[in-house]
Order: sequence, then structure tokens, then C-alpha cells
Amino acid sequence: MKQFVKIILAIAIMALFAFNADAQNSKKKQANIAEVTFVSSIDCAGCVKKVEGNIPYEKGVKDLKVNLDDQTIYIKYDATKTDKEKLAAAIVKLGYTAEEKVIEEAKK
Amino acid sequence: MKKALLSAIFILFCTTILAQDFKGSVIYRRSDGKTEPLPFAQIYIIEKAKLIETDENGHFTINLEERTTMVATYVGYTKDTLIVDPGVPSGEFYLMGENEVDEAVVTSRQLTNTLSRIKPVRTEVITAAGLCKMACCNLAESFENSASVTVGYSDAITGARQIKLLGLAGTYTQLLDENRPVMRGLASPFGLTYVPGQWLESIQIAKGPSSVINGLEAITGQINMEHRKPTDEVPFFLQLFGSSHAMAEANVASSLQLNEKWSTVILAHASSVLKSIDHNDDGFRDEPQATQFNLSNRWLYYDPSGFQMRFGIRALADDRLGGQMGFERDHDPLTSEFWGSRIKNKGLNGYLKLGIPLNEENSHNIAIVADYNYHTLGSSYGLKTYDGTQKSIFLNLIYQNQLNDHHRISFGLSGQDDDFREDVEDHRTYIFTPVPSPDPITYKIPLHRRERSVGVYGEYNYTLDDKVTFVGSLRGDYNNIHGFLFAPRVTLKYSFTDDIIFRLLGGRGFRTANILADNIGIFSTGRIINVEEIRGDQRNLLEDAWTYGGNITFYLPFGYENNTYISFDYFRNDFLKQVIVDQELDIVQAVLYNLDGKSYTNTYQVDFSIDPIERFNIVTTFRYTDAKVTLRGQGLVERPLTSRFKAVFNAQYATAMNKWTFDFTAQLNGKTKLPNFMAGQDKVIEKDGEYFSPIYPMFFAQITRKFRGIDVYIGGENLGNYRQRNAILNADKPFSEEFNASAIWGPLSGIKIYAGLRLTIWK
Repeated sequence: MKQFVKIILAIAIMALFAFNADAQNSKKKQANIAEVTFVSSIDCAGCVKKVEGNIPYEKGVKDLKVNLDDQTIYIKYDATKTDKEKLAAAIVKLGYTAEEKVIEEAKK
Repeated sequence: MKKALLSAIFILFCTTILAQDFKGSVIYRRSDGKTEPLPFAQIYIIEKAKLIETDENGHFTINLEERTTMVATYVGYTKDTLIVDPGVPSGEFYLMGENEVDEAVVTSRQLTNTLSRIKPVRTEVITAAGLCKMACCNLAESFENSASVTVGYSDAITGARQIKLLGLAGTYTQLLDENRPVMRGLASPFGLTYVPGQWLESIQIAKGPSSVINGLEAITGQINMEHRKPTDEVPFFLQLFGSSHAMAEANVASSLQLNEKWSTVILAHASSVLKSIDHNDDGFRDEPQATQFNLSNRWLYYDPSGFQMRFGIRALADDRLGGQMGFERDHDPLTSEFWGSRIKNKGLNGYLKLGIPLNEENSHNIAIVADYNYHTLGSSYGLKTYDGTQKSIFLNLIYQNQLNDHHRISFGLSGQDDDFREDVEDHRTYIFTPVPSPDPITYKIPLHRRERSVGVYGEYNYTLDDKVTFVGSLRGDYNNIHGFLFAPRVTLKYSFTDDIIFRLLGGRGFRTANILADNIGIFSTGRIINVEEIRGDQRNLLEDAWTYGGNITFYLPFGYENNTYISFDYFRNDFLKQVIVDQELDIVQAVLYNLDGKSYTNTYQVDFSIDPIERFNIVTTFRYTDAKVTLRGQGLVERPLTSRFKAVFNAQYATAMNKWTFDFTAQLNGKTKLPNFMAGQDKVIEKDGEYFSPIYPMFFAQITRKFRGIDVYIGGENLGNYRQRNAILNADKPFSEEFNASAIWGPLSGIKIYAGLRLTIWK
């Protein structure tokens, strides 16, 4: 039982370090970070896997969320290294469409 | 807008140069075969890395100077590719609605083990991501994260894995391969190790007897496996794996889309334990030295009219060398001075599935499933040999009609033909015999069973939005051995709100016991296998049980993206007829007899899942099982070798885009009642004249690093190095009656470190 608690503690500490490192990384480079959401033709689990297996390794991509229900691909990227057009082309190259989703904000 | 303008200018530009113009049209082909043009579809020109669009009539024109590859896409449609040489005047792209091709797959998040919100039956889904949490060399190991399913060894010799669902042996769970019954009969004892984890896309564990469409054999539940699909855009996948226990494994998968209609997937597996290991110095191999080859080829033909055909073949060969370290591959077990075991399995399977739509919307259709299975087993355990051949044919004809949004009916006719030929021979001479005798005794058990059954069934499905789902089904089978068998099954799902889902289920199941294959562990004992009571009349082989239960799941507004849920299960199972294997009735025999009295299990389970922050998921589950069985001479007692509880804690953290994934699983396994001959063994606890295994923990951890196209992982199993020492009783007297390697309650091998590599090449 003691061993059980020890191992759980060790894992918790490791996880904490991982979070920290992640948080610090993101703080450093906040300045050039941009976001874009594409509406795409992805509509199968395999398509999601394909996007998740390729887009993260495009230059400048910092985060990716693929939503099958809404058929959207959200990308956080370093604007000094890439742009929306390049990202769209990367998605199209995988065989899916990529139209930028324009979020209409309420006009004040 | 800019892009559209550019495209328009581009098209205009192209149309002015007529000499080498290629005129293309993008056309939508509806499921009824009719076509219409697709305006504003996107065409990607690979060589120029350029994107153009069709005009309002679905046409486009492009100037070609070299051989050009063009991909036409449109949201919600399949894509089509054309490779065109300069000088070709025109071409057409045909797109289809994507939903018409593949069954609806509902998954988007990086969930791994999760409860399905949609299914009417309480269903736990282990996705591809969940399968990658651990080494998952094979199907048996895929369940380590699940408390619903407990995995153990049948014995300490053969490496045969056993699962338990609702506290009962895996033989009471129907295993399905894409909704086709598999791993029946002779293929069942080692079957779980014959499904490489890397071949699978997901596993669904449904508790309770849900559907009657695939026969009556689901008693405690159904486990359905989904393989990698022919339509996956992965022409090449390779996995390599190695462990500190000298196990090496390789898997290859290749999904190829030959054209719009035909696609195929080839799956190959080879694995081998390269060295014999005896950590506990009892003279016996801890695990058999097994070498397995497994090959499968699956095809899909999809016609735009909605007609689809799936077929495939699979071949398997497995050779296991177990027993004492001194026993070598070229030894004859019947003459060797060492106790050795040699098990050879060969299997061949072929199947065909047809889906025929009877109307345009495919709400009205016929499905045909045909399956042939051939399996041979040649095995020896010391001086006992067990050989068998099974030939099985399964046919199923299903008619389905979705009358409207609320009502769906299915009718069907199915047949099963099983031909079993099994022989057991025991070549030992006995000191003790059932009837004391001065002469050496050699006995034989020839078993031959030809079982045929034909069944008719009907299922009615009522759906009221997302609120209510009711499924009622009836099935009647005529069986040449057991006569008429009748089973009703009912399932109800009710959503009080979007976040509170209640499920109820009940039904009856039947199966014919395969007394030897179901109890492969008894061969790894010195006991005389006494099947005399059962053998006389094959009707004694029938097992009949009712299972009912319920589940309530609450989705809670906590955690990241409100992904939290807590779920409570209760299931009850009652046997009316059961075949019992009793090693406690007699000290030199394993006696098989029919249940005379009660046999039941009550299973309670709580599941809790939360994402405290993004990409950090914690799943905890706790199961408690109260299993009782009536044993001759003992009355109603706790079922031996069934753990009382299991608690699982799993934590997974991934960095952005899962480039790094950290997994940790801790299990706490509850005490297990042991047969009385385990008295005095290492760690065994005695309480009021009964014997129990201790409560013990197991730890698993894995780190995965993803690169483009390559995943590398390293992990460890049983990190606490907990073992059931001396799992083989009287290992020093292997040819005696007291020799016994079948009472397994804990891990047989200690800490195991492994590393693997997954290489994916995308289309």
C-alpha cells in the first residue's frame, strides 16, 4: 500500500513539472502567436487522425484542435513562421477543404 | 473573397489559352446513381500547389503544360483525383456524399476509455488512443485500463489469457469482429492473444445480453472489435515492439483505395518470445516460448447506389513451447524426462458481408453475413495430449426497415453449423486412480459434436429524439441437440435531461459448453479429467442464464469542457444451467458436472472521469463482484478464482498536439477465493477455513513521443514487481497428481519494460 502511495506521488510531481514547462514555453512566445479556424470537409475519424498526424509538424504550428462535429480545424501558429494561406494549403494537400471561418462578432 | 477573385481571374486567364486547355467538371453522384454538377468545388493542383474553384455550373478550365494531378473536394463529399497529361481535352470528377460511404463515427476528442452517450446498452469504448496507452500487444492486454473486464491467465504453463466480465469467464461473453461472432470453441482459449492490438481501431464493451441478431451466446455481454479500415488513408503502417521478457513483435497494416469503389486493408503480424525465462527458479518457463504468424486481408466494395460488400480472409499459425526449462523443441513430450508442453494452433477464416439497399434512402435494406472458420489444435501437457479440429459455418440474413424517425424493425434468419472433433489421451500410470487399481491406467476421452441450429428473430427499435430508446427482441432457435431454445431481450435508454442518462436491460442467453477448450487450464495439472457425468448426453452441455441490470450516468459541469461524468452500474446474472469444473471435490480428479442449485453474480461498478485541465484526463473505476456457485459437497460458496473487487486509476497528460503523452495506470486487485488445495501457499490467507489471495496493486506507465509519421514509446508493466510466486504447485513433481498450475490469482511475471515504434505513412 505504501508503495502504491509513493508511486502515485511520484507521478503527480512529474505531471506538475510537465505543466510548468508547458506554461513557461507558451508565455515566452505569446507575442507572435495568431489563431485561425478553418471550416473543413473532414467528416470521418480517419480524417481527424490524418489531420492530427500531419498539421502539428507544419512549420510554426503551436496548437491544433480538430472538431469533427462542427467540421472545424483550429490552429494556433507563430505568425513570423507561417500564415493562414500556407496552413490552408497544408490542409488541402491532405485532401480536405479549408475555408477560414469568420466569426461574426456583435457590432457595438 | 480574395481567393475567389484570384480563382476567377485564373479561370478567365486559362480559358483564353485554348491550345492545351483541360476542361474539367465536378459532378455529384447521388446514392440513387443520378448526377448533378457541383458549383464552387475546390480543385487542388498538386504540382503547382494551387487551389482553384469550379464555376456555378461545376466547370473549370486549366492550362496544362505537364502531367498534372488534380484533387477535387467539397465539404461533406468524398474527393476524387485525376492525373491528366497535356493534350487531354476534358475530364470529370465524381464526388459522393461522405456519409453514404462510411458508417457514422462519433468521435472527436482525444478520449480513450469512455462511456458511449449514444448507445442504448451501457457501452464502454476503448478507442485507438486508449489502445495506445499501454503495450497492448494483443486484445487481452487491451483491457488493463478497464475495471469492467478483468484479465488473467488460465494457467502458469500455456500463456492462455482469460477475461472476466461481470465476474464470469470470458466464454460467456460474445466476441464479435465487426459484428460477426468470432473466437468460438477451439479458437477461444488462445483467441485473445490472436488479435494484435495494432490491428484494431477500437473496442466496444457492452454489458449484458443486448442484441439477438448474432445468436444466443451473449450472456454477460458483447465485446466488439473494429479493425483498421480499408478506407483509412494509410497505405503503410509499421509497428515494432520489444520487451525485457525477450518478446519481439512486428505488425504491418496497409490500407489501399484502388478506385472509387474498391478498397482493401492488409494486416500482418509476427511475434516471438526469443528466450525462455525462469525468474522464480521453479524450473518452469514463466511464459511459453510462443511464435505467432497472423495474416488478414479485408476488402470493401462500395457502389454509389448504396450496395456494399465486405469480405476477407485470415490465416493464423501459433506454436508454443512451455513447461520445464530442460524440455526442448525437438523433444517428444511423451518420452522426455522433462515435463513439457507443446501447443500448435492453426486457423483459417473467411467471411462475406453484403449490404443491399432496397430503396433510395437505404432505410429499407437487407444484409447477408456468411462466415467459415476452420481451426486445429494439437497440444500436449506432460503426458496428456489434447487434439481437436473445428469447422464452423455461420449464416445470417437480416432485413431492416426504418419505418420513420421513431420506429425500426429488423427480422432475420440465421444458422450455425459446428463440427467438433476432440481427443484427449492421458498416458500416465497412476498411484491413485478413481477406482484404485494396481495396473497402470491410460485413458482416452474422444469427443465429437456436430451441432446445428437455425434461428429466427425479430427486433423492434423505438426512438423518441434523444430522450428514449427502446429495443425489444425475441429469438427462437431450433438446435439438433438441445431442441427449441427461446430468448427474449429488452433494452431501455431514457434521458431525464441531456446530462442524466438511465439504462435498463435484461435478457436470456444460451451456449453449449466446450468442456475441454473452455477449461484449458485443467490440462496443466496432474489431475485426471473426469467428464463421465457430462459426456453421456450432449444435452448436458447446455448453459442457460438470465442477465439483467441497469446503469445511470451523470454528466457534470466540471472540469475542462465539462467532460466529467460519473456512472453507476448494477448487473445480476443467474444461471439455470451451467457446467461446473470442480477441483475440490476430489484430490486427484478434476470433475465436470452440471450445476445443481444456484449460481449467480451481482456486480456493482462506479466510473468517474474528469479532465481537470486541458489534455489532462483522469479516469477511476471501482468494481465489486459478489459471485456464488453451488459446488457439490460444499453448497453455495463464493465462486473460486473470481476477484471480489478491482479499482483502476488512470491519468493521462499530453502536451499540445499530443507531441508528448504520459500515461499512468494503477490497479488494486481484490482478494480472490482460492480452491482448498492452495492452503499454505505463498501469500495465501486463511479465514474461517477458506483460502484467499491477498489484495495486490499493479502499476503501468508509458511515455509516448510523436514525430511526423513516427511515434516512439517506452513503458513498463507491473512496475511494483508484484508476483504470485510458486504459481505451479509441486513443480518438483510434475508427473504427480498433486502437480497443479491452474490456480492463478496474480501476475506470473514481474516487472516488464518495453519499447516500441509506430511508423505511419499517410496517403
